[in-house]
Amino acid sequence: MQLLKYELLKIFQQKSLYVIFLFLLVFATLIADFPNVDLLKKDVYHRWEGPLTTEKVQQAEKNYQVLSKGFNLENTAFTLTDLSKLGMYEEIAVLHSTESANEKQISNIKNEHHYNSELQINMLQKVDHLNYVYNYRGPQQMIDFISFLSFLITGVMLLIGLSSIFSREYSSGVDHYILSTKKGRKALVWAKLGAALLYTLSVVSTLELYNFFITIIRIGNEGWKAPIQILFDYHRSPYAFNLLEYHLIQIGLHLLAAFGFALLILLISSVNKHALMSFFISAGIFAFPYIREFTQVQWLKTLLSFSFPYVMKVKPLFVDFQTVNVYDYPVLLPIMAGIIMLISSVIFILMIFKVMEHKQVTT
Amino acid sequence: MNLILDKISKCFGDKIVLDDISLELTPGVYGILGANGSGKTTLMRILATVMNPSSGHISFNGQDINDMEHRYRELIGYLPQQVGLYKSFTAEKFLSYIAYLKGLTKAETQDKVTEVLDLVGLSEQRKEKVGKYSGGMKRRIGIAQALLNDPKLLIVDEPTAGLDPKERIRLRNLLSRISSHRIVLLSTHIVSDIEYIAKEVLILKEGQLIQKDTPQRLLNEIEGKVWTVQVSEGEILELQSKYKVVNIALVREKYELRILSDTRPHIHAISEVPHLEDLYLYHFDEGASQDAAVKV
Ligand SMILES: Nc1ncnc2c1ncn2[C@@H]1O[C@H](COP(=O)(O)OP(=O)(O)OP(=O)(O)O)[C@@H](O)[C@H]1O
Ligand SMILES: [Mg+2]
Repeated sequence: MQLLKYELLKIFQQKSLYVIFLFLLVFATLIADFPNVDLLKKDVYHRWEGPLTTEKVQQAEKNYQVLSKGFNLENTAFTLTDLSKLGMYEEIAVLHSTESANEKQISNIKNEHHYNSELQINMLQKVDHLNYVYNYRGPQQMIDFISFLSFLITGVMLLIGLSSIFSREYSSGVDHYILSTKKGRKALVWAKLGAALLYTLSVVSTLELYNFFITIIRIGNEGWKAPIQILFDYHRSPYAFNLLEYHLIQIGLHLLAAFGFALLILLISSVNKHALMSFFISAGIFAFPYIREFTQVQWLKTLLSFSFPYVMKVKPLFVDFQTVNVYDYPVLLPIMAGIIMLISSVIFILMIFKVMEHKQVTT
Repeated sequence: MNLILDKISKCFGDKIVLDDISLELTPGVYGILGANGSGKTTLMRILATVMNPSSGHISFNGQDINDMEHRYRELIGYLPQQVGLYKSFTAEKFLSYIAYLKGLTKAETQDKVTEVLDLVGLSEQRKEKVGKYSGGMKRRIGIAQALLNDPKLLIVDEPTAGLDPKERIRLRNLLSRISSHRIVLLSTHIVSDIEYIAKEVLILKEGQLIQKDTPQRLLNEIEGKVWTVQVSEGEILELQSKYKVVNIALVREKYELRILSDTRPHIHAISEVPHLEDLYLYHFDEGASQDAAVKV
């Protein structure tokens, strides 16, 4: 317990952490600050919110025609209000079309006979029909923030907070004492693991709190009950979650991947005398899977979605129906990712203990 | 209580740094003497379990220390040659941290930290950051941490380096006092550190243990081989070329040379009582004459 306290102290007394975290949050606030279209949208949404009736669909279509015709004739620019109205009408049209799209997809798959077709049909049948108009902009902002920035901020904070966790001992020469003491090779490792995980937890939860408050202030907090398919990026998703459920799962997976990455940083730190070296190696491992953005090779893409940054983004795991074939048994991507994160975490922990059990001083 | 080293060797690549060292240690102070690079630090690191020997075994009271693991580590106190510290910690905080690493409880830690700070004379600076300490004070913190767990085996690597004379004497007395029921292993270049307190002196040369005996018996070996003679400046060079001159001092306008020689080096030479320093220089002769000349 005392050792854990000291390890936490050693992490949290690094002043640069706070400066960089603050800087990243300010940066995030600035680049995620789209203009007040959303405030206008709120009114528009309130006008249309509720069950999607045939009248609503027809009315929206009519309004759309009128508004866009006006544009063509007079050649004037749209006002922001007009823009958000147009967006609303389009959204209603899309909502209206999804039900038939979903059914079409299901009947298509019924003709296929892949090892995972049955699972896909079952899942798609459970997806809620989009027959309700929601104002989902708040939840959307929070969900997007995770895949857009959170993963990066968490990654950077873990790198700078944890890279030195073992390296510091080697470079300061305190390792001589540590390695010759009763608790220096096991209990201390537990303390360091505990401190690193608590640090990770505090980074992720601070970020989530920030995300929550900044969203509430800017956009509001309604619409959590909407199905995730309402978000454009997720319209093909086979997962029957509402936004709240999905966001919780998202946070969970994000945290799990962050834990895994924290443990990897610890492992690299445990074999490196220089904190900077640990930092760059870990940063390289974090950044490398980004090549996924540039590859078209499907298996590589799938493989890379199990890497730390992509599991921390969460989104790539949920937008499509994708499974991994384990002896003809279809395992969904998010589940596979969770398993991989858990297994690699355990492996990292075992390796750290092995390293520290046999550690010798060099200088 | 005994610690037995059985054929301990250590190589770094092709380089043999410790060569087949076997010895037995029982309570008392052991002084390790040896030139730079002779393997003192390596030997102490192996005993402190921060480095593994390439071959050989060490047993404590008949048990292999590898099997004892933390039960052995519980018994040792170790001062490395380079004292590592966290600069931003106060002395008190740093020592508490090491105390917890050594498995002391919170209550024990408070008492023990106060006690060891007192032993090394740093009670008044206990709230100061160790980053601001002087070199000697840092070393004293290093000594203090080694004592936190009442070690049965105290391994101190050049503990007196950088200490002022008062602190050296204080440390010497401390080690001597506590050594009645502990094994104290001390390396040094300052022979007077161990001259009067060492139960035995170990002399390491190029990784080999060439001597291990009580100071008295080691000195007997060079009894009658230490001479002093007063000469004029012109005679110095001639004597230096023929004999091992270990010291040159200016005494009443003449030069007094201290010489190691089996036979009387000069008709006016007087036989002297040998000191450990003579013994040391006797074994590590290379360059000794030049060193002595520099001391003028
Ligand atoms: N990690 C290492 N890798 C390679 N060689 C090493 C290593 N550590 C020590 N040596 C070599 O081993 C030899 C013995 O070193 P050691 O530090 O044990 O000597 P020492 O007697 O303590 O010297 P000093 O009086 O300078 O402290 C030296 O030649 C040194 O270069
Ligand atoms: Mg040394």
